[in-house]
Amino acid sequence: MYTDAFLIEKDQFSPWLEVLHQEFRLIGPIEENGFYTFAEIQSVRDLALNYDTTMLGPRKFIYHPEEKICAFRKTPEGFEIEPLGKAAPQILVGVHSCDLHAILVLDKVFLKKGFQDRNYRMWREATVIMGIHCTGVCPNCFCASMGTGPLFEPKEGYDFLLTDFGDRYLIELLGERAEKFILPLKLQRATESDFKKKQEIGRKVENQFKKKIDTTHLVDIILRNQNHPVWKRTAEELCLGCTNCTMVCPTCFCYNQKDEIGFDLIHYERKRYWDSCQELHFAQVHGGNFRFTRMARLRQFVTHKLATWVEQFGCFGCIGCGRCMTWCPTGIDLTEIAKEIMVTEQNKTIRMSEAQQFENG
Amino acid sequence: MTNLPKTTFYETIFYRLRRGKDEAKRMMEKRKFRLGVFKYTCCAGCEFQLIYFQKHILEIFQNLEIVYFQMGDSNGKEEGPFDIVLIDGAITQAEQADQLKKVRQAAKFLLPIGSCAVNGGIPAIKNSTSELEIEQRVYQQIAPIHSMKAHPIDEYVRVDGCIKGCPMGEADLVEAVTSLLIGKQPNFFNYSVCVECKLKGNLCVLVAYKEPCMGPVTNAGCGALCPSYGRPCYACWGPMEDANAPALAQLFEKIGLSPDDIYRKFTQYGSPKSEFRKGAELYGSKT
Repeated sequence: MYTDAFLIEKDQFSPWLEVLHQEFRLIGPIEENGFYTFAEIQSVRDLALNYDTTMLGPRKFIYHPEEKICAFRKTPEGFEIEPLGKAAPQILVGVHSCDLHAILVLDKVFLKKGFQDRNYRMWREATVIMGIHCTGVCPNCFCASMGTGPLFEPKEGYDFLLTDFGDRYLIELLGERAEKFILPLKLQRATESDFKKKQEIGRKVENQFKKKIDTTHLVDIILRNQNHPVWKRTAEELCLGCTNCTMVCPTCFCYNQKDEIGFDLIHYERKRYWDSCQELHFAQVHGGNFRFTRMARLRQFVTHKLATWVEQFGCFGCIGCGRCMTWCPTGIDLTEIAKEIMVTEQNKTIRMSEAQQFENG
Repeated sequence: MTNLPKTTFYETIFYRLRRGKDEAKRMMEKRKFRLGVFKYTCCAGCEFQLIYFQKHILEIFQNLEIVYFQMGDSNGKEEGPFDIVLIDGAITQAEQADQLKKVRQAAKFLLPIGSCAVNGGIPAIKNSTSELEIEQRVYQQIAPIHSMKAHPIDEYVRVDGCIKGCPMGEADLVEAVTSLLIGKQPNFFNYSVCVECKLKGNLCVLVAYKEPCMGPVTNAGCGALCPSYGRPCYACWGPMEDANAPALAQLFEKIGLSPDDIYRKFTQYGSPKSEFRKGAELYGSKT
């Protein structure tokens, strides 16, 4: 795969995006009522690339909250199906390292494991992704602990990767598509010292994290403690079952389908929309509901993100963006839940070693 | 509260089998669906909404024959029989309950429409005060008044689904009617308003602005109307199934709402429903 790195002046960067904007839908972080959000951009000036975090990640432009999958029509013989929707070429600007990792996780879910999702592939291929490295941390993020930041290490999943050097960006390229875009600019090639500078920025950010979680034995610890009192207590005292955590999570992939019946009772449309395991009817199957209690649903969310995802897809489902705890109305923190379980585990080992010492005399 | 025996699992299965057969027969005959609309204690807004909707969904009404609809047509046949019955309003009188039971027996599908019929709604605000006090506050002569506490429809008869909203939501109504016409189970909204907010990409007013939003415990269907305009949800759709009202009520207390305000929030639209009652009872008591 083609890789290269250049330096681009900030004065040069905006006009370049302006040119790309003529051909592509431009999507990036903008400020709205004091909060940042990913939205389609009318003018490059609105772009707020120094944003901290958004409520919904850029996933909503690749894996849409609601989208039409197909239309079908009743015929005397049976029915005819026709797939719906066409992807429009778009550029996602300013995707942070955590969200880039989240897109890689979604790729694993929708593209790499067995079945390929038509709509996801269509939008994924039509999207040029321009990542950017964070220059600070958010109060709730912990990507360094999950191994997803602050610098984006994998050589996949993006087309451009920016690092802010103050007056200019270091722009890393991946793939032939990226090369084609940057060719007319005639930029100065990045040197070894620029990469050192990038590493330094990464180290500086890494030292600022307030939230941390130890992931060494996390999977075993969570799976061993499925009956820990923390689940029940959190579910009863705090969890509203509102589904905010899963809706804002950039790696959640569950969806539900709904048929819209045409008024003539002949034409139908099948729609899909984001679904959530925190919702009571999610686990409703023939014969009953296998996650009837709120405790079971909360436990499913945390266990899936921090433990069972590893077995299923070979990586953590949590990418450490901290959105679930930021947008939870009652502030349920999955790292706190994990930490409480770890403390009990530690006490147990201490007690066991004490008992052993006592036995040994 | 009247405790009617709930239908067992096998009864439901038999009922569905019978329904399937009837459906096939109706399709063969290409007979129109017989519609009945009954109104009990409410503002009649849902019925007006129904009249208003037929502007958009005239095609649907071509498949329906209106048998009883007092607001729309004065020559109705009250005794039926009906294919679909829509019930508007809460039950506040014994004779309403008697009629409702007869209607249920004459109807194949019975659906309450609007918050009053589904959750008790606005009429059920009076449930937290004693009847005599309420009656004296409104009427000078209370002798001809035979009112009792307001109850939702499903406390008296079995229902085949609920069309929630105040007034009822168009999406749920269209889904219910079209589904029954083609003989499938209607797919109602059964999640919280938060889901609709996130699908629309609204900023969360509860977290971002600390507005006392009832969205997390309220059933969806409105398309997150109020939060889309930066206003907190006030639960007109009634409670979501298995909502955690006590946790939200305690959160409201932290935000700075007075106990009276919290009590009113949880009794405004669904006070007979246990989901909301749990939240209300933490901050006030029923007389």
